[in-house]
Amino acid sequence: MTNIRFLVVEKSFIIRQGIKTILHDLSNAELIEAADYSSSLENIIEQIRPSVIIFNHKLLKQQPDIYQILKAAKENVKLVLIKGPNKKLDNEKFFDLCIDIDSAKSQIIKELNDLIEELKSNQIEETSDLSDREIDVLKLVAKGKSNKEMADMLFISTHTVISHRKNIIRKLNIKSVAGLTVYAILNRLISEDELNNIS
Amino acid sequence: MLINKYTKLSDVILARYNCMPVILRFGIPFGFGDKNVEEICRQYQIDADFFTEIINVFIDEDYFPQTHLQEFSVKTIIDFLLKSHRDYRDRKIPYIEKLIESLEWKSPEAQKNKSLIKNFFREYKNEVIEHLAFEEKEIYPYALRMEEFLQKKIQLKEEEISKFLMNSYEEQHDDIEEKLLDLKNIMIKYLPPASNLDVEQMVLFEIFRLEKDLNNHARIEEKVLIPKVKWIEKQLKTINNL
Ligand SMILES: [Fe+2]
Ligand SMILES: [Fe+2]
Repeated sequence: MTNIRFLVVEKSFIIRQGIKTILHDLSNAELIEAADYSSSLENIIEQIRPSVIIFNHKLLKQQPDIYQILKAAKENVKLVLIKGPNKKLDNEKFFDLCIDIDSAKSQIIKELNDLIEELKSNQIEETSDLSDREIDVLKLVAKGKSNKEMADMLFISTHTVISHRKNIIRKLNIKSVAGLTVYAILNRLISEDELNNIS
Repeated sequence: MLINKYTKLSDVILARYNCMPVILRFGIPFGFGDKNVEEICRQYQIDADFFTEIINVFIDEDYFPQTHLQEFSVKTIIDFLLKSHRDYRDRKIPYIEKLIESLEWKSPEAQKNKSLIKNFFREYKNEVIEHLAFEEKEIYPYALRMEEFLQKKIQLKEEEISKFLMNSYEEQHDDIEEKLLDLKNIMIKYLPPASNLDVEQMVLFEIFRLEKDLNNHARIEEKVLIPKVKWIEKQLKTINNL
């Protein structure tokens, strides 16, 4: 499960820290950047590709052009607005969630959790099972073959070998060849005798 | 929490016990009563500013040391780094090896796991030792030499300046943790559980701790040592141009 990435755009340090504390209590939430708003917001969004942007409604007044930036981002990003106590804003519909700054922590957590659930249901859950082809590649990695050798043996391109290797590393969370070899032996994909024969 | 010179050393440990190995490396034994950092450092002839910086690096991941950067000598920094190297090589790593050695599995078949883990860790150990040895043979003596050159205002030849090392060291430097991450994953997710679970848990605890410690060590090299020596390199260039 990949984490949901939050970008916080908030001038006040105290409020930013407050949001940080709340996000800390959510599972699957990851705070990517607690940015102070500057003209570079567009770039920041481009670079870190957040799933959720949290920001203060005051920004909309101070920086009217921010509305355009958010509009452009809205397709891929959930927008969460923090508004003053008991305020009704005319453009509330534009946002996926409006949080009243006076709300209790438990209330805010509940609202954000609902948002995260919604985002998660759109993600395709990935299994960590290796495909048959990936297992073939893993066995050869364990035997110390180079990408080129593997490509020749499996009749695929080096490029494909590399992308299989990347997938294996991501699924197993094991990066080193030595680690992958241990995994292969533990799962009886390869025997220790086979390894000894090579060396 | 961050500390300063007026923080009581006992409070530091009570709040963040992970800094204990560092205090030990500075050679400070327990029983320090209510003395604060400055008093203790005076007693053991340790630079209190440096001590404070190092402890802060170890207790706060986000701490970025820079305030007193220019104040400590390269020698002070390297003395500490060397003490850490010794601790990893002579105590921490052999201790984990010993723990792995005492892991047990019930079936003779599963006992093979032990040699798997042992070999994996041995390979890792060799990598770490190589990393430490490279720094001790190449980098640290180089840094000390540069500091001496600057103190004596020695004019360097063009070719010596072209051999400045810090940029390439900075680029190549890694915190040697990748294999530890792998080992954690293998033990937590894929290895059949040992029959002495408590020992297996201790192995994991020690690996987590070593990983953190190595990470902090690398941060001191990257955020304190490298900027300092780079600054010296720059001064040496300036002297040369005059
Ligand atoms: Fe080092
Ligand atoms: Fe290092």
